[in-house]
Amino acid sequence: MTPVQIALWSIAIALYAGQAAVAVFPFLRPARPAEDRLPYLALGALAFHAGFLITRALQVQGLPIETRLDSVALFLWLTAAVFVAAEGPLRLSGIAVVFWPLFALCAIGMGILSGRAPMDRPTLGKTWLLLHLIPVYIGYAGFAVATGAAVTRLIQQQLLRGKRPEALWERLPSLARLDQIGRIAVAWGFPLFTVGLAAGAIWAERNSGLLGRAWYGDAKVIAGFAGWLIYAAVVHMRLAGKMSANRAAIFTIAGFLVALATFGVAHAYPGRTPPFSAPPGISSKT
Amino acid sequence: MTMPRTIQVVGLSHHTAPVEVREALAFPRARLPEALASMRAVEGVEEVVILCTCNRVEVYVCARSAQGDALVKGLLTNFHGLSAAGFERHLYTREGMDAVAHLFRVAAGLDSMVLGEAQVTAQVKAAYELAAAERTVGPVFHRLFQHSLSVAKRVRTCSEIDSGRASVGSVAVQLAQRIFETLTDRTVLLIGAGQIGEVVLRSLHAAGARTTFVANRTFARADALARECGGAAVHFDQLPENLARADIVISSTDAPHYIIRRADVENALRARRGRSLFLIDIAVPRNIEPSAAELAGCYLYNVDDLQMVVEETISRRKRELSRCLATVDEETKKFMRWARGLEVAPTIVELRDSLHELKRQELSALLNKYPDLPAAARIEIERTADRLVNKILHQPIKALQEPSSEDHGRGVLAAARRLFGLEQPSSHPLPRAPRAAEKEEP
Repeated sequence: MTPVQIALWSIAIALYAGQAAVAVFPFLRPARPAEDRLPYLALGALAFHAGFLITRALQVQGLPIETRLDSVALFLWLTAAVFVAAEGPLRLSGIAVVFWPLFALCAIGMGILSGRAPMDRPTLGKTWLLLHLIPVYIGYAGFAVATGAAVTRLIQQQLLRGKRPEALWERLPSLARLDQIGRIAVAWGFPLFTVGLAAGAIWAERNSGLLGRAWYGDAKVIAGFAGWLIYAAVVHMRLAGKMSANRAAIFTIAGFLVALATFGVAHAYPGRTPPFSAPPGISSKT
Repeated sequence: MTMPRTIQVVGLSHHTAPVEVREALAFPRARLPEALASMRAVEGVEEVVILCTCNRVEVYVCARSAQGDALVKGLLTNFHGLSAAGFERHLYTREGMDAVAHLFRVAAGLDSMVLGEAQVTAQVKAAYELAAAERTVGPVFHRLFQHSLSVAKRVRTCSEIDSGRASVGSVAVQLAQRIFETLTDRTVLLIGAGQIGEVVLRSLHAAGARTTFVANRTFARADALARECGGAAVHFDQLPENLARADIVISSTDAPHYIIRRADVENALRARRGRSLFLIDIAVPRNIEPSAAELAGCYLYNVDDLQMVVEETISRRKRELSRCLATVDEETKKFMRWARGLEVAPTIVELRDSLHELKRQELSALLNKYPDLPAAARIEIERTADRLVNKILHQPIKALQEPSSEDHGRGVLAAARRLFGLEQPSSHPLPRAPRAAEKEEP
């Protein structure tokens, strides 16, 4: 990475951390309703973050997924962008107090863990990359929003059930609102995630000659599928009215942890599946 | 010279008078214009505002006389046909700076029964607007009441004085809103038509809850209350099925045992397919088995839980009180500076005119004595005389404009008038300091 890219990335992370602080500190002032304000710091962070991705894209002449940091950066940018875009329509400001700190932690943690290690040349062609990677990442972004709502819901539920007189429960959104945010976020994220996984599976099956017939035994594929199963269960059970909102929140968080683990698994066990790695000698232009 | 104005408030409130006295002295809304007009008609009274709420009756008077308490007593006696002996011991009188500070405290809800309540600000505004419409306010009260509303806003913005909910009913509403977001179209089941239960039901109903079922031992009582809230009465043996239909259940019977058991709640939650159930048990002894609170989706609050939230709110507001009073103090001083400017302005003008007239006379005599003085010397003499007068005036005017205290200001004004031979006022030139016995209750 160039010094400019390092600077852009560092500034973006610092602004995300600033946004987290801005979301948390007013909340801790007792009983003053959180004001709905534009997340200026997050918007600034998104701009610097986009600058980083654009310069990387220009450098690698394509989608910036050359290094693990590229991949993580793309995922984080889509997640933050989805949250900021949905903040108005879904009235997400109530969960900003939970979302931004978690996001900042994830961004710092994933940034450090992924380092600058280069990934092997992706085996996916441009079309398949768009069909697989982008829907999967946007799906994860939806799950991240749902997870923010789920964590907030569990906190709010604990405050309400704990009957603690401190006024924190007055400052968090209602349980019904948090359920609704989670439901909508999963309802948007799950189909996209499914499309992305299906596209990846079709490509892998078609190119089983390149990747081996047991591509589905790859650790990342299994982790990704496990996440899909959890969210499929949430969607199905909620549609059937057989899952309480509390349980749905727990499953949503579990599903997102599995999604995060998928990145970890891909890091620890590169395997052979795209976009993280490919057998030596396989061209990226398939 | 005209007599200076005095701002006074005479009235009674929940601090000094029981509800029976407050009721007897309350001005019906329709007759307030008449009361304002009769007070304004009194000689010396320039501006009047009457603030009448369920917790206070106060008459604010700006008069060129300090007899506001006697005037208001007269008004209350004549208007209500009561003997002054029946209420005068409940009356308090504030004058000048104390009257201003009192209004600011009242408008900000700092003198209210429920500390920090916001309703009184709207009531002060309404009282002022009515008086303005009746043309019983002038420059002083326009400024004073508008200032009081901005003080109320500043106090609320800069502190947590209005944070939280301060009654069991409003806490119940807020908790329900934190569970269900909106109460519109929510169903409430009231078991036992006790007084607190009814208050909570009405609070929920006012917040939007629409369907109501009331179960009571006396069916007719249940029916009457349910009708009032647009609902229906149900029999006690129909409780289990109505428990599943209700989103919010208020229990307030005097039954000595549990009416709703954990199994009933479990069945209701199952029938509700995961939808939350908010149970408010305000009965003593409790009506709902406490272990029901352990069930997922069940939010059970008893009267102590609700009271704890209320007390936390009150203590939080009390912690804010000193900060709010400091704001009131600062704003009172600001207003008094303005009012004082209004008061001393005529004296300053008189003082200037008087000394400049003296200068003019002396210069005239001097210049007549030496008619051959060159023009340049004449001009220089006139300039010197001007400088001398201005230097003589500088310190007295400064002392008049910036007194170290109200008493000091009054003394300075009187002294200035006497020292410079200005016409003496026959009454208090400035708002008087409060009498010790009139200090407000803590």
